[in-house]
Amino acid sequence: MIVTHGSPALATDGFNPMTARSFDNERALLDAARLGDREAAEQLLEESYRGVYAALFRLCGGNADLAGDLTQDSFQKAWQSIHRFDGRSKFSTWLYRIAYTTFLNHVRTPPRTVEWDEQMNGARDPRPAVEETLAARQGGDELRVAVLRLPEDLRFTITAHFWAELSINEIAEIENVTSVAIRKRLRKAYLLLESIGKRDPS
Amino acid sequence: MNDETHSDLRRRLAPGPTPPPPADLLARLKRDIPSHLAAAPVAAVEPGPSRQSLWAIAASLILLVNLAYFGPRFLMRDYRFSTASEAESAQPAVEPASFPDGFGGSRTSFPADPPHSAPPFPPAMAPPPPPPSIAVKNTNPSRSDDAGSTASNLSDAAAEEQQIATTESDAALTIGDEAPSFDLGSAADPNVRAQEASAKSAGPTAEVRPRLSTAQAATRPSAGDARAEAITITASAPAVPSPPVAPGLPPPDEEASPIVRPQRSGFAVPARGFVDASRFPTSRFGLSSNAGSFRILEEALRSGHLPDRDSIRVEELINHFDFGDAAPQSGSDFAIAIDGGTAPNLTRNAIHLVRIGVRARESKSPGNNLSRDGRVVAKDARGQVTFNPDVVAQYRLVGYEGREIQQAGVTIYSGHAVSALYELRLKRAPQSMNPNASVGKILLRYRDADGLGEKLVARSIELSSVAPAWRDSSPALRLAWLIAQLGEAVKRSGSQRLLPTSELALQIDALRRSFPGDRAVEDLAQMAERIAGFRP
Repeated sequence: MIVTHGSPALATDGFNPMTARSFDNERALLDAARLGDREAAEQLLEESYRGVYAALFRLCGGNADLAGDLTQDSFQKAWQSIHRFDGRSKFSTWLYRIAYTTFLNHVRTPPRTVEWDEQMNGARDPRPAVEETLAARQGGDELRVAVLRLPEDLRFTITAHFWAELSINEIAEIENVTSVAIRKRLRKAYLLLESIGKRDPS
Repeated sequence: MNDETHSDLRRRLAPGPTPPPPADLLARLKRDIPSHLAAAPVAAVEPGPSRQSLWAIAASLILLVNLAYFGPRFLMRDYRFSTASEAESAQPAVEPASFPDGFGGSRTSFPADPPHSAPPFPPAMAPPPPPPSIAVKNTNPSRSDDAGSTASNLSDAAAEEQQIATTESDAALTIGDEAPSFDLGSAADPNVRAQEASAKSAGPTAEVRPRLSTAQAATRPSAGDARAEAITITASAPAVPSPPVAPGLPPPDEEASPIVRPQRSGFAVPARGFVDASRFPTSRFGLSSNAGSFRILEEALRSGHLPDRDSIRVEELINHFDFGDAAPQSGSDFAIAIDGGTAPNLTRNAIHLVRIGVRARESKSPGNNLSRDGRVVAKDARGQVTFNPDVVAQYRLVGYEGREIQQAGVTIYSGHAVSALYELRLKRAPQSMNPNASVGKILLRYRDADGLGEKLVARSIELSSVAPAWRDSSPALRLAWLIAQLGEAVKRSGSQRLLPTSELALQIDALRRSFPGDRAVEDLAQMAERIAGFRP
């Protein structure tokens, strides 16, 4: 989790669902859920949905209804694919990946929808210009728009780190790169965002 | 790169407070959880159960037809013989067997163990008639004719079970359970061996065609033989009431007689190996351990094949691992760890688990346990559990297939650690029973290194320790059971295949985090993946 940057507090009385569970317990719940234990699935859900919602809320620029719908979509996809979750990363990290892709799919025009698991497998979507679509369709403050205009790898890293409150190591795990690479991405993103801010002081 | 600027940017990126999710969101999300999360992998659990069930039904039908045809003929021919043997045997077989102590007569009653006067026969069978005299006189049961009679009775019992249209598995379970061996200690060793020899010969020869009449079969349960032998043996022994010990001889190999008990879920569940706690509340478990099987399995997998199934012993696989049980406190020779939980199970019949870890005290001078410097902690050590039949319906000692647990006890060296894993079927769901109820009592009996005086270590297993769900069970217990399942998958044996091997591999892989740096667990994770390739 973010320890160096002062983790932003959620409105849910300081409860950070992404960190609430130790890895082992989460893993045990997940194993049970995969074995058909509905109670375990519900517990997993209860412990993770706030984090997913919060991340989507921020991605959507504060649109609560949209964030709720996308949370629902994300979990539907998660249950469908729970057997493909390989346990390399935390469940919440994996969930964020799904939520993020769900969000991207939503803001794209219909012909450009992407199967989320293609992205899960690390295949970068070759189709261009997500950022233009995003920026065009998403209003809101300029910093958020600037983030959404970043190249895909930087965009994912920034949103995961700040808006989903994933730690650098967790992002590194799910991106299958080293944490040094994630730090580099962050620095590069900061520079880009600053340059965007200077170039486009709207 | 300006740190100031970056920190400013980071502050701006950090989002403000987020309102709580909509009130109905959680309910919507819960509604979306599919009802069959585990459908895909579970379908692969038992690829061929239906075929097995069909074979069982076909075999039953053939047997029935044969019985209807040949039954009357046997009845007429053997009537005289059967009545004669009934007249000779008049002893009731209800009283529980007693056992003499193995240590020169210094007996110890089982601490806090209620006297068990459980009915010696399962309710599914006919009421206990007097045992045939053949068995009562059987002081040398290795004689082939006696063994043959026993076998005939056994097969008749099986035939009878068929006739009253119970499932085939019931009959087979009966055969498997009819080989009780009683803990007679070293003093009664020859008799014990003799008895087990007869029990053993009953197993394989149970396939002999029914020779005696079905009428006789109907009047006597096969258990009468074994029971009568026990009475004969113990008649001369001092009578300390003690519960009968479970069959030391594990049931014969599963593939030799594929017996399945269909369950609600449609899985075929071989019913061998579970023992009724009301009939045999006491079970001995082994205290010696050997890790040979793990290496054999590892070698075989490395060279790309599965090992010979008989070369692998599940109990050895389990005991290859260090479950991290605490060493005994100073002044004690042994520590007994109890670690319980529930097996992951999609059926309604929960299988509870208990791992009993026995660890001997460490030697003060470090040295090879087996060398002359290795300190002997205990001699003639024997372990047993007596299950409470009010709580436990059936139990199964995992492993020890085709192997007797040493009667005479073993010598234990310092630092020795061994685990026994039991699967339990409880009478009721643990939530509906008193959590402090006793599941059973563990008793460790041994003599000092100097061979003087008997010592006891006892510990009770409480219900609350076997109640936790799979996900709340300790990593050590989960590891032990996963190893056992994997071993039984390799051997194609055991009682129930609850998970496909691919899922076993996944679960073991996940457990690696709980055993950081444990080489054996790392190896096991790799082996599990390979086994999943061989035995999906």
